[in-house]
Amino acid sequence: METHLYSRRAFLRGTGVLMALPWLESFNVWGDEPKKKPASEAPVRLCVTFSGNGFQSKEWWAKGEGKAMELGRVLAPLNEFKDKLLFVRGLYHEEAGKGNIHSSQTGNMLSGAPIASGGEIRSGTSFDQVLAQTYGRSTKVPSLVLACEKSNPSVHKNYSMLYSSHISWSSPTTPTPLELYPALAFDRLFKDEASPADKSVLDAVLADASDLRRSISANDQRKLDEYLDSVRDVERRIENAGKRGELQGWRPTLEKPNIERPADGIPQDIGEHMRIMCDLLVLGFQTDTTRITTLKLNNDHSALRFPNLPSVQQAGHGIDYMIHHLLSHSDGEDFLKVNQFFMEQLAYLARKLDSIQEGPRTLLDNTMLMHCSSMMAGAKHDNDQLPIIVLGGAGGRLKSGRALDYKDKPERQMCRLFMSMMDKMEQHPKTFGDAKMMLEEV
Amino acid sequence: MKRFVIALCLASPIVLSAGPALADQSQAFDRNVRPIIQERCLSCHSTEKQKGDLDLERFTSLDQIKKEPMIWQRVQEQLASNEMPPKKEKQLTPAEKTMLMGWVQSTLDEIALASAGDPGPVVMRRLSNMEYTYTVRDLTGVESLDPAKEFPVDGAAGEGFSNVGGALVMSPALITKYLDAAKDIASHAVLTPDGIHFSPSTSARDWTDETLAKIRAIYARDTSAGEGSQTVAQGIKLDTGTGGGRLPLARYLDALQGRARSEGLSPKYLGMLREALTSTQPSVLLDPLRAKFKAKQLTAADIEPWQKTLWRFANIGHIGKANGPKAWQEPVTPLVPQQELRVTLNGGRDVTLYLTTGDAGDGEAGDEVIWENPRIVAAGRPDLSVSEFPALVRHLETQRAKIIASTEQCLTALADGKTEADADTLIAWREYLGYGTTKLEQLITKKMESTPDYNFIKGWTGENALSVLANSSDQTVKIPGTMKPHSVATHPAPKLASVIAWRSPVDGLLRISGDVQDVHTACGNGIEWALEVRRGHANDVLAKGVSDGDKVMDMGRFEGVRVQSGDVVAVVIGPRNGDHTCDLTAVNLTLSDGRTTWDLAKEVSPDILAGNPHGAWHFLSQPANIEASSDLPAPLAEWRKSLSPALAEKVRQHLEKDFPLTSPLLAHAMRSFRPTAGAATLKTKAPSSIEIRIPAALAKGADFVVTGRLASKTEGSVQMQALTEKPATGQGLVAGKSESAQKTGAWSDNNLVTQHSAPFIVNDGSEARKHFETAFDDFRALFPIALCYTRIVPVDEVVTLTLFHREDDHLKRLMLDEEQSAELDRMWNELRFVSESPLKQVDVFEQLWQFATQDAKPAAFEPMREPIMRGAEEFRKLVVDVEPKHVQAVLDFAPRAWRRALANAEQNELRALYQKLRKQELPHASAVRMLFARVLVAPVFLYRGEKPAPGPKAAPVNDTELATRLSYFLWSSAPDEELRALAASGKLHEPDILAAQARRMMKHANVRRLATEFGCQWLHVRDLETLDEKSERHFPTFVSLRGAMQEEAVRFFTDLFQADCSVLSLLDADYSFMNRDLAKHYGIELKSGDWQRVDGLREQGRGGLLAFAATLAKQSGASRTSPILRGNWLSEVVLGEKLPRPPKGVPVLPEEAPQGLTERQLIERHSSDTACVKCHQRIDPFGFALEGFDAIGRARSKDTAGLAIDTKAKLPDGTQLEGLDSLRSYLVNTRRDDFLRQFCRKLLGYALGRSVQLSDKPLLDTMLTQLKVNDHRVGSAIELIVRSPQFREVRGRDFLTSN
Repeated sequence: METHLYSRRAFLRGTGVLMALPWLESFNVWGDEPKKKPASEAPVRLCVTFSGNGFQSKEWWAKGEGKAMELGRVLAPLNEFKDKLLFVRGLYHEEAGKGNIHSSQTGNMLSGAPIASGGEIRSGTSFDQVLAQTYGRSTKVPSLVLACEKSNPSVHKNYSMLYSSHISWSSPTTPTPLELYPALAFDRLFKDEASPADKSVLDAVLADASDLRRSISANDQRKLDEYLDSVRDVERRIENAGKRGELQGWRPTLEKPNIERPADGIPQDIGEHMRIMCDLLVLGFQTDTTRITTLKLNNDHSALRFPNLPSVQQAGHGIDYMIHHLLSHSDGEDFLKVNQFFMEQLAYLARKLDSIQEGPRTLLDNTMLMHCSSMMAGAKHDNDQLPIIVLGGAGGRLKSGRALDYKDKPERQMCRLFMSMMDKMEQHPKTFGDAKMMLEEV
Repeated sequence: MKRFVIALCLASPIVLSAGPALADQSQAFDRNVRPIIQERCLSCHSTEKQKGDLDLERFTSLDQIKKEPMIWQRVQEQLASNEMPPKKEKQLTPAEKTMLMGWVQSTLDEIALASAGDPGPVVMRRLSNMEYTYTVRDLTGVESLDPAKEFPVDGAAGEGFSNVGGALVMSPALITKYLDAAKDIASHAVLTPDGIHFSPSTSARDWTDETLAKIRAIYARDTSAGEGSQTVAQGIKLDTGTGGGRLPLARYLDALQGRARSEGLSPKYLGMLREALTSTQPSVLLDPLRAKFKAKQLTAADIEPWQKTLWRFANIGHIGKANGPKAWQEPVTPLVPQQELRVTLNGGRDVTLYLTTGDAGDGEAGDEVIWENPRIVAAGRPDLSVSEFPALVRHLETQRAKIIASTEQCLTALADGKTEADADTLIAWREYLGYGTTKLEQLITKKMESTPDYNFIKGWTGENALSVLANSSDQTVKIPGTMKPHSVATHPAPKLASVIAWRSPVDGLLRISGDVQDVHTACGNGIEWALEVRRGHANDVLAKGVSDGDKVMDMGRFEGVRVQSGDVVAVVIGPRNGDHTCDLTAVNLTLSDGRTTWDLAKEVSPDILAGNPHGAWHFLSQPANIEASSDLPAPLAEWRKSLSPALAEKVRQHLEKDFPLTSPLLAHAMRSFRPTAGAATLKTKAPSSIEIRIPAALAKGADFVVTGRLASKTEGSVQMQALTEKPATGQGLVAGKSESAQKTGAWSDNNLVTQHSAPFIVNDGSEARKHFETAFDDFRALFPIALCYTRIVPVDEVVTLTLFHREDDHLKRLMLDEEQSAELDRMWNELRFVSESPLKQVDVFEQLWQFATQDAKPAAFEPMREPIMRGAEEFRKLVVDVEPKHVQAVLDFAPRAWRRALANAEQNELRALYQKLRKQELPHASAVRMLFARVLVAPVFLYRGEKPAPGPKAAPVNDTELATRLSYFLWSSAPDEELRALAASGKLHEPDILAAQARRMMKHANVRRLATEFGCQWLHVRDLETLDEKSERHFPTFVSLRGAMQEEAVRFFTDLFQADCSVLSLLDADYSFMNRDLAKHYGIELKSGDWQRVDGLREQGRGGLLAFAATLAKQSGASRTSPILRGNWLSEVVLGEKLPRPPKGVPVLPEEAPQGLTERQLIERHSSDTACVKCHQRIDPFGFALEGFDAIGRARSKDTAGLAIDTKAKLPDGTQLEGLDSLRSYLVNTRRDDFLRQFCRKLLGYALGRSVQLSDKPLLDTMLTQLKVNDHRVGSAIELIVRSPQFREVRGRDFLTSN
């Protein structure tokens, strides 16, 4: 597959389109160009949220349909959204089972790609970024990638810990950098960067890079292309500043942000941090500044503690005696408590989305809000069946209020779900990761 | 499945050239190896099964093995650790195993040797966040810059360091951050007339302060502190000059006379001073100093009095004004043709005055002088010439006798009003006792011509704010305290009431009315008032009261009040309980006898200073507290109560015993004396001293005044003094004292007046005068008081027109060499440029002008206008003239940032971009900053690109690139000047030079970065200072200590490199580095809180990285220790062992030990699980041996549950461990090679920015050998790395494609 990639890259370079279409390198063949949706219909949005180290395994379940659906205790905070929830059981990534625990289970969470070990960093372009590079181009910010825990700069058992800190990958070698600062995320969405001086400077360094490119090795050129593509992208954003969604007849419900720029720095309280990030991504959707967001609540192998959550196991204290990662090994009541805390943030986000009316549907109805983790139970590091739920209706294209079970079925690649979700956003790759077809039921 | 294998191939493709040795290997493979593989391995690792993704079946020839040696490295590891074949399968015989391992090893060695020195796959590296930060700091010289603070965390790869290209990614968001950071860095650029430098701040205000600080630092170097002084203007205290900037005379004199060393003193001034003090050129002032110098007895005290005599300090605020001073420190010349001398006499005792005449140190020729009209001057009586003294004393003695003799008679006359007595004596008694005519004393005598603010407010004033004031204008003004137009107001003192009295010129019936009003209620407790009618000592109070805020207090309307001529109507305003603050009180008083009306305000306010008394009006004070006022002797006081004749006799007896000539009973006699002798004039010669005795009776409240001059109008020079102490005999030259003071006046005036206590009397135009002027000039040239005005920003005027005052000519002339002077000039130019003071000066001047036109004399400032306007004009021109310098500064900055010379095209491009930005209407400074930003987001700055040689073969990088490699390896930053110069001269690639540079850089403070980025990252404590993984409940001290914990590791590694220590000291050092807090954490008491090396740690149960709180804490849980984490860390990180991956689905470990189990027992229970035991028996013992340290690294003997700690452990090879000491000696002895190899591997991986690969094995082997023969000194490892081909070369451009 790698060899194939390189030859394809060489071909593109020859034709001179590489610069303009950098995302092509990770993809086989593209499907159709985005079809125009009917006028005055809101676009479908994607929001992927992630929490590391899995869940309290016995309490992650759902059964039944619609309002009659029953939820395990982990999912209890989402009770009010039962009819807008799709519970999918039994999907997995073949490649994630091959490497180390943790790091090599997370770096390919959204791509299903094989992960390189040793000195190398290589995974696959994640499906949210595939969408960002196509569907996302019609908004000012193609995708917003947020996080509430900084990434881990070390190597674990021969695998870079970059893998356990990044689910979003712009290219197979580029984990999308994470924005942890609410204020900077706000700036990313709303700051007007369209100064002619900036543009002149970017033009100049772009020329530098093109010159430099001629004198360096092929390997280095590949690295420099990250720079070239990034500068081009920023330039394009400057040009697009103020540009809105291209759909005719449909207008976003907000013209400009209705909240203040958040304070500088990172909020002390993790719950507050998560909620501000949720507010921002809702605002991004609501103003149609972006349609694709990824929010990593914590790392896999996370070191967060939760002194503000009352402990069940050590009554009278907070859950501060173990970091999230080790807590997940305990699989006890306190871990369940922390699981629920994450689900409460998800409920907060869903509630916010659901409170915004966009024509006949709510913003939640027009969204696919997917939450995932890289293992089922933190205590076991098992990823034979990954925990996954999708809230929302993808503008009526997704039938929710269901629990699907693929555990005992063949061809239960997680990437099939991603293909289905891409399909809702008018992207129809023939294959993705290790999947060759969508999940028909979704 | 092939994907996995190919990935490995790409990670380490090897260029091979088959040699004869490999031919043997090939035969051995076919004959011996393949059969064993087939038999023992292929049941699982066949092409079909590929268990663990491993297919060994496809290796049918040596050539195939050569292509994928890493697979065989894994095979080797599996065999060595007895992982394979699995226990349940049939095992290899010892012979088979030896043969197989031997063959694999020698094959791998052959392959490694064949490709040794391969630079490896090093992808172009973006600067890591820390490299970026260090580089920016080095480029700008600003240590506080932290531009990457909000950047995403860099990933690690390769050998676990965040300097590996693959993990250093780029994205649009990051580009935006780089652009913002670059703009932020550029905002720290300070544009100066000479170029650009960087500042920690971003505001012109701060830059100005920084330049000020630099100038003051230059000033402070050669000057010392002295006494400051203050002035008061408009009620505001202002500093005139500062204590700083003084000539440090004592230090120079001490050095020149061998009393102290001359380090830090200016050679220039030392030379000048020595020359002046040994010169034979005669000088009346210097000659006495030279004599003392010769005897080595000259001190600053000999010189200082003359400095004070010959210099004075003016207000900076007055410089440049019309008639203003020329400088802050001005010369004073105490040469006068004649001088009035005035001595204030103290009453109560006789005073002796000495009128001395000195020869002014230049001989007595022509020194005849005249003391003109020596006299006593006192208020309320005529001047008394000294010639009158004898007659006056005689007169007083006569009168005293008369009074004593007639005591009874006079007192009876006073009592009954009928008895006859001598009229004059009776008046004396009446005045003394307050009889008869009503006393109106003490009249207030001092005139006040205006207030500081209003010239139409005038009045009479005394001590402590006592005053009666009148407003002659139509304005209501605040002085402070409100004065209405044409009104009168008065102010009491703390112990004195103010009295406004009207002495009746008529007999008759009066109508009296009036009011009082406290017109200043901002503070104080108000006033008390009374309206009185006084006849002799009788006193009728018509009304009295206290003020009520600012309410007008009506004193009443009184009709038909009978008065006789001489009676008094008085308004008394008292301070009330002694608190006189804010007691200004407006007074209205109207009296009428039906024919005439007397109105206080109407009569007095137009011209209050016409006199006191002012017609019938008297302004006086009286004791505020009547009880305290009686100073009558006891017998007289008693008599006054009873008027008994018997007591009158007692009064006489008292007077006979105690009746000094100073008694007030003689006041009338004093007034009645009529002088007859006229003015006296005394003539004398220098040197001489005339004594004049002044009786106490005359001295009271009086000044002695005399005028001195030369007798002839030609030559002669003397010093004349009037002294109250007998002068030492034989004094020649006297320094005397000069006092300068501001006379009151409008704020725009400059009227500094200097008084000399020992003036030099010389005639104008005389030779003597010229002679002294020269002597004074010579002295001043050598001994200014201040060398420079260190305050620079003057605050000695209410409105400061001068923004920066430069006065350092003495410093430059006496102390600074040319270079220092030039630096000072440069700083001053920078100060003006950065602060734009010449432009601001124009605004300030305009404002001041407006201000002055309202209530001062604008003409005073007129002379300043032209220089200010011209200065501004010149400045505007300068600003434009230096623009190209700033563009050039960026062009000079770029090669350092880009770590290579700029091509012409690049220079042109930068210039063109500047022009383009200007065309986009960016101001010059903004355009220059954007140009900086452009340099700092350029790919050549952000990436460390290298030009590979064409073709597939590796070749050395060029010298410039090599400098960058070396610098980023050891300093995480761009090359410094020395490296750049060596690279430019093409010498750096010479191995010995390269190695010498590495040695030099190891010693440098910047190697701390290697310690942090390599050392701490290797040990996994790089981010300990922000580690948030400890429970605050369990370890409340951790957060405050974590920074110090990491710092210990950083300092240990820094010392390791700087002192070129043994790598083994990492394990067995008997020392470490700590501050007091960290030492306390370790149970060690330190005397000082600073960071320091602490020795003898082994005895304290510490020493080496195993006992760093940083590593112990990092490898623990949030609330408890983890022997597994510590053991695993020691095994993998410190020893470089390869442990298999933990199996998935391991049993769950409870987070807290169940009752009765120690944490260790808990682990043991877990580790005994068959799935886990194999690894845990390798790693857990290490952790158990470290159980004597808690989860934040404190020594302990009990665990959290209070159970005893057991640090005994047994390793798989049977070694028994107990505690840190045995673990350390096991590592240092048994595992020494493993540890050293791991250190070398990590260091090499860090240096190269990639994973260590098979082809690096020969280098690692050499490093190990070299360490052993060099006492394990770390420098030998570093030197080998920088000399190695993998460090110095880069793979050929077409390496990949050729593969």
